[in-house]
Amino acid sequence: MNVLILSAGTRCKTVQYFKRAVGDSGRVITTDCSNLAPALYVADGHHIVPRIDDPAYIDTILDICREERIGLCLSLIDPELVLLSQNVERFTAAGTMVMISSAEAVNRAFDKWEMFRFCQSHGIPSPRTWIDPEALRADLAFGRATFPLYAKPRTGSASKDNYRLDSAQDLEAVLARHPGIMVQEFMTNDPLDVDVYVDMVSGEVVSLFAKKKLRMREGTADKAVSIKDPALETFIIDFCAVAGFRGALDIDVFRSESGYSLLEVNPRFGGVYPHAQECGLDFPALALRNARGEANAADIGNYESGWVMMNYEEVISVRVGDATVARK
Amino acid sequence: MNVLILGAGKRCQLTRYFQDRGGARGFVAAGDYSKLAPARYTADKQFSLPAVKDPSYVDHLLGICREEEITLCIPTLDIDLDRLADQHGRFAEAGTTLLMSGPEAIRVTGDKWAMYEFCVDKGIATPRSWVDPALLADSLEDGEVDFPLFAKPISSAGSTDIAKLDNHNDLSEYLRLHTASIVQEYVPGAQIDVDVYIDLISHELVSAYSKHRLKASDGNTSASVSFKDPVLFDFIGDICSKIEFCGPINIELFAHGDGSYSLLEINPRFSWAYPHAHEAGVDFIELIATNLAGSANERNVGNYEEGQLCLAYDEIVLTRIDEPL
Repeated sequence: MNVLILSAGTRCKTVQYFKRAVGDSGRVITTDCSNLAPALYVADGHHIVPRIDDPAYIDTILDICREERIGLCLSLIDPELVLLSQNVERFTAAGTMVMISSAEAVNRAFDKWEMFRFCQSHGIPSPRTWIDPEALRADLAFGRATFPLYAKPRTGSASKDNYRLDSAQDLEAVLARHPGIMVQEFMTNDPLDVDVYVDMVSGEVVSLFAKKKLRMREGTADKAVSIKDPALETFIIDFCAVAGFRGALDIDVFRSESGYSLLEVNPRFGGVYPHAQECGLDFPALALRNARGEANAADIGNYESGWVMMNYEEVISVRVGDATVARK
Repeated sequence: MNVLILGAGKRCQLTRYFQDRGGARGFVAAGDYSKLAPARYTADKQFSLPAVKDPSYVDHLLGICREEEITLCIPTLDIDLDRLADQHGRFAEAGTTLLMSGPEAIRVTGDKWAMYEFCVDKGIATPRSWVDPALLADSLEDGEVDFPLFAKPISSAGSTDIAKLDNHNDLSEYLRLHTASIVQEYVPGAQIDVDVYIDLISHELVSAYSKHRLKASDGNTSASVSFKDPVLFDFIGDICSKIEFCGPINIELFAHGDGSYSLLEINPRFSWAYPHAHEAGVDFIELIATNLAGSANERNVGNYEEGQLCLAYDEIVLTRIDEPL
């Protein structure tokens, strides 16, 4: 089977894992809008494509799917997921399965306020959240909320424009600069990150890997340690049973004395998925089986806790036909 | 050779270059204060080091060098350079070559104002700079310089707290938050840098690799493309003839539209982006090995292809650490 990984960027490891899973059965092709994306050059083939906001984008990708006879297609960046979720039928017509959740689930994942309301209505613990400054000011005045608080854009990623608020002064300054910003209670306990695979055929959680984040860099874990906890597994499985996601997901969770609470969902491969793969999980193999129409059997908790992952940079060198294109 | 890399941190690729070179004839050890330094787990041996500012730090290093018969010790962090600048003799007594420049080069390059005065004194092109806010105010008043300006802390590493100042408000705000800062004129130009090797025996510049910075993440170059220019190599040669460096250094410059260059700063150590040069075929490890074997290297500047694209991606190291984290 041939696999197409869109907006592959710097995710060379994930591309390599797909190459391993595909083996001799096909090729792994990558795309990116920049010729400076290293993941282009570690794949079996690559295409430099227009930006995702270009009107011709989806047609370009569908042409590649037909030409390269792609069986499975997935994207590694958030802004592209909504677009893919709206075009699943066109991919199906081209003979390509897209690893994507429903449009409704994808939209909800990117609107943190909608996600909070969804969790509330389904009884899933999540940090208390305010979108209405008046309601927040009233809760603060009556002692129903206290500093520190945490402000973040309702839709946003990579911790951009996130602020810790220690006082009413901080709050008002951030509200003035960022109208419509969302405010959450400040979570002080362990930040966890869970890689989850929801089977695209059966709809069940069939694999998951949990880690405690030890150091952060640009919104993703720079160092983390694997953890195992049946209560966390149950929490994630219960959430996924109602949330409607499919395929590889990355779920941020906080652990506190009173249990787990759900922070956010990225409905795609997580930035540090390699930690899970190196500990023995294999989401690419699960996705390929789904793309062949077969369901996977659940295999939960089949890894060891206590494995520490540390990120570093590797440099590769490539000859580009016309390097002046890259020279700015 | 037995190699000890200090502040090894994330320098896994550099560690591997030495491992590839050493083969069965030696080992590469990684030392770091943090147990979460990935290079400690990719090296052949690893050492937990005291903090650089700990009074026992240098003695501790010398102890490792003697016990492990370390032939080459490589500082990779600016704090190590400051601490070890005058310790070459003690390392030599322990049988170890300390791969770094001497105290004068470390002092000048470690302080942006000292560097500026040095450039002015020696006639090396560099952006005009101010540390005295009153003099800067005068220069602005007289129209000698105009916004935008660049400001940075006087002795910080990397691009921490670098700000572009567009007007008087930006300037006073920056000066309020950062007391010891240097303000530079904004000169239009592309950011480039050159990895240079100064031979340990002949003290001549023997190798150089220059690249355009195409993309940066966290202040470090994550995508680059190589180029060559005799004008640049002459400029670099002139700089290196005026300060006495030793071993690998990295020089950051602006390339201007008229084909000229101006000096931004010098990092007298292996740069973070050294793997870009190595992957493109410029091998400083080989040059170091030749020097340690007692021979000088021939000058071989510009022996690489132009238009070589080097790109960084994230790798991971996995290990078990049976201590509380």
